[in-house]
Amino acid sequence: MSESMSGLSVASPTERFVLQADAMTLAAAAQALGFDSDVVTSEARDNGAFALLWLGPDERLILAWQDQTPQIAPRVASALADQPHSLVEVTHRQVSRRLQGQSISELLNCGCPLDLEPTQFPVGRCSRTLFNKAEIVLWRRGSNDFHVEIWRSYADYFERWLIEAAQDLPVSTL
Amino acid sequence: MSNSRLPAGGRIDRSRPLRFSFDGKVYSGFAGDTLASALLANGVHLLGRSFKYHRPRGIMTAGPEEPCALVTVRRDEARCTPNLRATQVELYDGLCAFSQNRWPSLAFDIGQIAEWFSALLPAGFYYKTFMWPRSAWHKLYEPLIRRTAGLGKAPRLADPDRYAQQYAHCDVLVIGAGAAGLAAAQAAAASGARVIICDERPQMGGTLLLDDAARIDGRTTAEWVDATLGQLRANPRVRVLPRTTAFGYFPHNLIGLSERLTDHLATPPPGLARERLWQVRAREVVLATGAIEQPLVFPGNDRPGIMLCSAALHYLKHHAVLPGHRIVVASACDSAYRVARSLQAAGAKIVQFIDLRSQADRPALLALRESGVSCDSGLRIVATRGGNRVTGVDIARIDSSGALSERRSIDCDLVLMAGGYVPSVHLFSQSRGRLRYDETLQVFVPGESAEQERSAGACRGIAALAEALLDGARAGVAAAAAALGAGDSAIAVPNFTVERSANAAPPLDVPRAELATHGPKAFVDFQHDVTLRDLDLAVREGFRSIEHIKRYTTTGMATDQGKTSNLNALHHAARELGQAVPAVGLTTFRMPYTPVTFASFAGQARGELFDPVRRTPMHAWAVQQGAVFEDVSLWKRARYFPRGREDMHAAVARECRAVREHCGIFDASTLGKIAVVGPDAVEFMNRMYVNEWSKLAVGRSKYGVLLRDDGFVYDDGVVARVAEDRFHVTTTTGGAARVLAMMEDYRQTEWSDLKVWLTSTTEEWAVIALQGPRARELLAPLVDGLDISAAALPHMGVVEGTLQGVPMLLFRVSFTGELGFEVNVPASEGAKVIAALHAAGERFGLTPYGTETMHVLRAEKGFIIIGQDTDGTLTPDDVGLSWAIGKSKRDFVGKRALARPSMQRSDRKQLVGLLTRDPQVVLEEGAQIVDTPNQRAPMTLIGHVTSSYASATLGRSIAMAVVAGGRSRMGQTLYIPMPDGEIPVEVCNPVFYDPKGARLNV
Amino acid sequence: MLLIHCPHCGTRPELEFSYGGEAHIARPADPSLVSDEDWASYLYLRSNTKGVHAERWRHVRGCGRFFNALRDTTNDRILVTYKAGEKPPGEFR
Ligand SMILES: [Zn+2]
Repeated sequence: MSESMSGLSVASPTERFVLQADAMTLAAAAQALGFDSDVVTSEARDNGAFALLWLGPDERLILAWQDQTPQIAPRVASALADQPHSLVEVTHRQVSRRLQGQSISELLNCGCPLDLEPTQFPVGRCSRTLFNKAEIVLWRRGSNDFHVEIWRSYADYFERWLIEAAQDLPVSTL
Repeated sequence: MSNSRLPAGGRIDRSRPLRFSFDGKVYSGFAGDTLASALLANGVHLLGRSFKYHRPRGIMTAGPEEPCALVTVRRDEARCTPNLRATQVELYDGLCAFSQNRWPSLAFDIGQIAEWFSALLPAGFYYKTFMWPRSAWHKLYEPLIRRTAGLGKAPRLADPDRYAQQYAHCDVLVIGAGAAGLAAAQAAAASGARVIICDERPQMGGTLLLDDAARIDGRTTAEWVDATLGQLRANPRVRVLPRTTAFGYFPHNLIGLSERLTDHLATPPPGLARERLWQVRAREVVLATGAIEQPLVFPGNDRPGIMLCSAALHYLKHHAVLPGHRIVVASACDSAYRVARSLQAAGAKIVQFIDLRSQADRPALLALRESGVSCDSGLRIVATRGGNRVTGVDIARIDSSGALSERRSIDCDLVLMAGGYVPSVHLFSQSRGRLRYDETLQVFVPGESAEQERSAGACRGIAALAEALLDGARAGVAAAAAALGAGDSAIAVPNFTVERSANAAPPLDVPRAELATHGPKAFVDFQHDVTLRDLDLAVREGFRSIEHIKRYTTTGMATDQGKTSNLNALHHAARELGQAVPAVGLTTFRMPYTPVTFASFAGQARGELFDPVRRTPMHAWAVQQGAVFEDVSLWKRARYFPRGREDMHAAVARECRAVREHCGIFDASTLGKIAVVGPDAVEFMNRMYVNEWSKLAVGRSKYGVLLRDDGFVYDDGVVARVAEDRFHVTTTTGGAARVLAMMEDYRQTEWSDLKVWLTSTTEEWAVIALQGPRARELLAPLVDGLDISAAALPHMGVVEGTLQGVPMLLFRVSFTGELGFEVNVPASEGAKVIAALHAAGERFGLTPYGTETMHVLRAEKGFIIIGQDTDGTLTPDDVGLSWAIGKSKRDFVGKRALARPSMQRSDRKQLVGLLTRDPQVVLEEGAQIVDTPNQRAPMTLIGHVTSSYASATLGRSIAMAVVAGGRSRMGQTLYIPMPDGEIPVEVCNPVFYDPKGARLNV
Repeated sequence: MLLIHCPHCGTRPELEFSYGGEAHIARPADPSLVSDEDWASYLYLRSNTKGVHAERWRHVRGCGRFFNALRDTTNDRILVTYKAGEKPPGEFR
């Protein structure tokens, strides 16, 4: 891997869940996970134990970082009790990749059509989008630091493409 | 060494001489040359043969507008690029180029015979001559035309180079880095905007670099260009892209750029992409694409050695090449005077200068005459001489009746044409901006914009240096202000002090309609060999719109898109029609501006990266077992597992027997899975699927059928109720995404009041099917004490448990007709679990089987495969699934349509079984069915074969088919007409094996 | 490639969206009460507008939501987008 793309690493949460519900219920779930409030549109937050990612107006992705024992379902299910919701485990459906390095936005732009300029896609922004023909969830954790969630059977395609494209990065303006 | 190269000057690097070859002959040039300039420096003017008449052609221009000098550049057998404009090919050491469209050699071309018969080849010739008979087209005419006409040949080997693609965004994209473009980029960048500036040439600066006498803010133009580019490159918010052609303007300010990265390098670094395709989304675009000088139309205007005035100036100033020593200049605008003086100063002799415009001598002409040049006003070139290079011209005065006077012959080795400049409005036109005809300039200029875009400089008719700089700066400021949401006045427009520019006079005052000089072989479109006479013919034959004239004559339709022909054709047609130019119209420009390689559009999406290749968690296990894979949508699925020298037939027969007699193991992970969750989940399922779900108990599953609202079968799969408010829905492999999308559509838009949500869990679970009479005894010891007896887990039962500690959702289901289980475990555990099951199953004769065996086994049981036995026109009843419909339900998707009379006709196509009279004959899937072979073609087709296999279990072939009124034809003999005779078949029930299902309920 | 304004996420490239046909064609609440002819036109007849056309899009590679757009079919301009279940904004009605 070239130096301009200093890292493609695995960043594995211990659990992943998709939570779908109305706004009130989502807010209650956010609190049960230790967040002050729910995330707003296209936002992702991380409190050390959990990450909460906005996927749609009524859809959140919850990641757990720490324990191997179930964390998300017990907390959310008990907090939501009788409020209508759907909590579905997707721990094994997808994998996580951490991308870090100076030209990482440019590298992602080899396949992702979004404007990743820091003012347009700031730290803390997350979105489902495309990387070429694969759907990804893209979350900017730092100016040169992205977290990507991708369905497991697409991960190989994603990684191969990044390695291929890293050779071609238009790093300098000549 | 030819004396065409001047001893000093130019922007070439004389310390770096380069060797190159053209048609096998070796020449030398310098770094900074193009192939065209280097050939001219070597006195080579003949570069190719024309498209239709095979006339010798040379170099007409010095840029992307070149219609004639098309060459093939070859690095090796695979890296061989045809149809490159020699005027854009940068020279490198060892460059190897070939002329095109000639045989046996460039100088003696047998195809030129076409010219001798050219009276037979007028406009519309192909249409008229080859219309009839039809059959002759493919066999005779097309191959003949393709061999004699046409451009270069594509290489036969795969392209070994790499190609990159990149998305980019900016506030201001500036296209063209001449005076206006550089000023625009500079101004926009100064205001803090994100800027991309691109130019198709290797050196930015455009015509500024030709204007070497001028001073901008006290600096030479070259110094000013270098300083400005230095500033831009130092700015981290600016990207400077030389060798980059903006080829397409797409909606909402998406611009396609093609950047050439290695074509100019003698030895491209290995691994470096050859080209990069940029998709730039710009908030604002500044078009600074300049203007293109037009040729003059006169008899024999296509000989090698006849070129544009601007091209000669370019070769002189950039490459220190004098393309000729005895020069005739034919001019229709003032710019030619300056070129003539420059060439004169460089040592050439202007043997004759004619100004076509008027009878009266202009001051510039008088001044030139004073320097000793023979100058005349109002004369025309009426003929040219020469074979592979021009050797002379005849000039004369033509009166209004067409009579010639003052005719004289002049010997020369170069003829220069100055037909006036035409703004390059290609990209503006592509953006759907409306062109406006400027009556004074007699050209089209950008009018009303359709995109967030503005034009600056010569591409909108502003050519004088000081004005172009200012126009560019204003455009840059306005674009930045618009992009950044600032007021126009918030950003100051820079000042430029311009002195001594040769570009001072507006050069666009050309009496275009009057310029064409009639006579034989007066070419308008040089690449498609369209002459004035062809245009006249089109008008005579009744064509009135330029769109039709263009298609009839093919003028402007070559790869150069009429950059040097459209306006001449239009003016001539308008004159012949007696109409104003705007009334005849201007054709729309299409992308690409200049040709772009296919590989560039493919980018990295080749081979393994063309499409994602999806592999299941058990893929490595299947590889170990020697699986042969097949593509099912994007998935790789194990098709069969050959042992030793088994072919597919043998392997499948063995796998089938193993499942029927012992047990088989199968990777079913690719089946789509959807979690339907929420208090209204059961209501949602009732509305979506044909089945009744209310009474399905937790821990039970059911075969579900999904229709579209038109009543036709869309998908199927086993659906389990895993909790009161939670269904585990499975779909077909190929249907996973579209079923989820369809459900999501109804959920969000029709039934948004329902409290239910959908989540794809396809990849959450690895699914391993165990099928066969011994499946239970094999599995029972592994499931950590779970009771999976027939009583505890009956057919279609579902239970949660663990398998050697791994969480498991266990289905008792069968797609084979045997006792069967489907073990669902977390995808990450799939590899481990299948290995454990496989090992444990060995003593039970457990055999891995693939999709092919799965297909045979299910066909023996008459189970359908969506998309194979159905085609989107079959109802549940047509395929024998009406039993699945919840009859008491008021509504479900597709129910209303099933009540339409046409859906209930008894002659609808229905699923049946077919048994061939000869049990060894396996029918072809897709074969058509007739009820009697004793009929004339075209026969009445009553159905087709949907599935067909050799069944090892039954010892004969079996087939499924859909046949009109099929269920009432049981026992009838039908026929499958095949090329070598009809195959008689008997209609039967599609369940071939264990029709009572005894093997299932054990 | 168009830019499309998702009412939930903002302006995004067309690649992220899927087209969903003409908008504001509600599925009859009780299809059994609908005549064959009306059902056929619900299924198959669309306005095929030249000009401003109300249509459904889904931000399928984004927030996943269906929404509506008014698009001028003569020039491919999207005039406005609005959430599913909503009527077009007043000035476009
Ligand atoms: Zn959205």
